[in-house]
Amino acid sequence: MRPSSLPFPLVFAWRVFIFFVVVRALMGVQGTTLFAGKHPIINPYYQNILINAGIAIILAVSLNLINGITGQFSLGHAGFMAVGAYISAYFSKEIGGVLFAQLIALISVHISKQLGTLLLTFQQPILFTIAILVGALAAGAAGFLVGLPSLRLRGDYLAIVTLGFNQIIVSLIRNWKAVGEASGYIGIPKFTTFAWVFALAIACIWSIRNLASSALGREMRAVRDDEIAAEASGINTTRVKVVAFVYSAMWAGVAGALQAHYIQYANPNDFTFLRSVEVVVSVVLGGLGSITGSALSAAGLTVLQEVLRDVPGAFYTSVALVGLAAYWNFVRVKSEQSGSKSMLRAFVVPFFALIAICLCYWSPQVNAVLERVFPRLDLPDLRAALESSKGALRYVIYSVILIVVMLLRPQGLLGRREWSLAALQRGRRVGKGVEGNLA
Amino acid sequence: MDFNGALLAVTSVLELKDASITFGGLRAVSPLSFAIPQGQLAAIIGPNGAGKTTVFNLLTGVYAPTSGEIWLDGQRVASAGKTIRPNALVKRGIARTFQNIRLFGDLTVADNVRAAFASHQSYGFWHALLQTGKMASVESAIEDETQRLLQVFGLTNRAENLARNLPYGDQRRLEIARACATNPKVLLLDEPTSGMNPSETADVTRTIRLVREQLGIAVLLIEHHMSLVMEICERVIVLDGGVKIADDVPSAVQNNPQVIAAYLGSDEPELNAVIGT
Ligand SMILES: Nc1ncnc2c1ncn2[C@@H]1O[C@H](COP(=O)(O)OP(=O)(O)OP(=O)(O)O)[C@@H](O)[C@H]1O
Ligand SMILES: [Mg+2]
Repeated sequence: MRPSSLPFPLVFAWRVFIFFVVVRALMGVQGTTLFAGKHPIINPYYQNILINAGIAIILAVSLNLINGITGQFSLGHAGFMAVGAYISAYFSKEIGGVLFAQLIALISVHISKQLGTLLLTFQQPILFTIAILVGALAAGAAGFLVGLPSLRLRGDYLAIVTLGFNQIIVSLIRNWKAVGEASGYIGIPKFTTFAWVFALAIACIWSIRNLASSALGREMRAVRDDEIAAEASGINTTRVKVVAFVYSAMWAGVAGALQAHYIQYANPNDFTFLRSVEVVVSVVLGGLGSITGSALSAAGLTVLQEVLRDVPGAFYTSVALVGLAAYWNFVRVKSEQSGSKSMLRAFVVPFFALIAICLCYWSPQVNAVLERVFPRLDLPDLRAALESSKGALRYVIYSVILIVVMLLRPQGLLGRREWSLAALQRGRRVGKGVEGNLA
Repeated sequence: MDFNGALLAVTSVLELKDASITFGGLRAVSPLSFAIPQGQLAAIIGPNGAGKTTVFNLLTGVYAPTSGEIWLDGQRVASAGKTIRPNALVKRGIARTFQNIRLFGDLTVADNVRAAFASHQSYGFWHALLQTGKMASVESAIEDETQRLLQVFGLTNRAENLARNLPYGDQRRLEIARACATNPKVLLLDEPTSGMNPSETADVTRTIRLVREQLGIAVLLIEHHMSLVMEICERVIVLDGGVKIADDVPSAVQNNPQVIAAYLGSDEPELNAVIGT
């Protein structure tokens, strides 16, 4: 969408209208619903995945503003998320309800009773909106603090500082009595629904796309490409970097608020730098600088994570990954016009990887055979080991993905391009996007 | 002819008053004074390490002077130990290019130019976020200016190429175009023809003339190609070891014994260029 020639309020109203129509359609019309009711089209299992994907999308798309578009390496996104999660949860649980009750009482007495009851029916959305805002503002303030070193530090140094910030936040929470210290914060009200996540994910993508396609986005990319030249071209590099950090952190805070009010629980361990790394992986995988790339890969990795929960799923995924790696390798070797010998070599690594995966999967059977042949052997059950360490397996898969991406497609799946419906209509699968395509 | 004396009557866009800078123990620029009147095309020459680029860095706020003052368009912008940030100086009317080309490599040619409107044609965060009508109108103004500049610098058919994919000569021209997009009163060019063949040099020479004549901007350039300096500059400032040893019209500088000695003492390749032309 480009700045239209129509007057702004009209365009804006139209967009809001479309947006609500879509949300309404997704929530279902009177009873026959997509999500709720006796026979929802999308059952709770898939809803759960969609909500997690939505939160991951908000995290990845917002981090992309710092790491991809502005070119600063932040490794502390989970820290901002933690600030948003805890502050918003603290508000909803300890402050919001009481404050709201008092407000209603005041309104009922002094203004009108009807208004009081009306407001009461909307208690939950109003409280949640405020909680999200409070969480986002707190995270934004944290983003401002962390953005300051970015004015002096670059690359690895900034990555270390942001990572350190992430761990400081986690340590602070571990020692904060009011939110349960290291054992976690329980009893957070369940406010998050699919509609909330969907609406906020869209708002996140929409607003960051708007920023990226504006003069501010151009200035961010200029800072990314050459900070000294940007400064010499009249770009206020301080402002640009701080804006990127604050706005991005605010959305991380929103994601944190959504997550806390979804699982109704927050634990400092969920916000360590491992979570930050997950977000960085999505951004790198999708292509640094590509908003749609971040969104797609964040959604993809969430689904992958879900699939990895049961071992057969993990097995098939691994096979698929090995196959993909083999194919990419094959294409690459072929494009280098080498002989058949190196074609063979291209398949050696994936082949052994496949055998290793199969061995793990059929571990009990293999063990049975081996123990019959060598009776005194005490073999570990690899499958059980795999099953009991699903979390760890996830990181193994992530690192495999990262290595494969770095080797074969360092620019990420989409590079810096965007994928859009408009481009699809024009018959091109991948649009040129915000990169140099502003009317 | 003493330019500083003549300038008192005319308004100068840019003026150094006894500005010096010391790095550690090294005095890169000794107290130096000169003034550039509106629309003048002047050159700074001097052997390698003479402090030419350092003077540019002082003028653009990269370094604060150790002593002395810098005045831009009638306002003091730097004094001992203090200076205005580079981006704020750009807003006040000074633009530059770099000795080693610095472009936004992954941006298109047009976006390189558009990015340089940041200091004088812009809109706030909320307009960008909500894609308001103000954004649309400012963007369309930027677009017109950009197309005009690309036209002037002969880059129109390269507009959608990535800057890093341009040939060397086009990159130099784009860097000048980008500097002009900041709407400067004075433009500093650091060796705009370094590493160029004669035809590319002629091309840049034309471009510099164009900047002066079509856009009316004062130009101060550092240059090693003496033929270019002699051909287009009205005035030549010679630095050696951070000290100004001459400041005059090209023909006078050419025959200045001190200048010839400076180049003789430094066994520089451009020695022949100075004496030969
Ligand atoms: N940031 C700095 N720190 C220390 N010394 C510096 C710094 N910048 C420049 N110098 C020194 O100041 C002197 C002048 O350098 P400058 O780059 O201005 O020379 P120049 O006249 O531009 O030479 P060239 O023709 O090679 O570009 C050199 O001795 C250089 O080493
Ligand atoms: Mg130099």
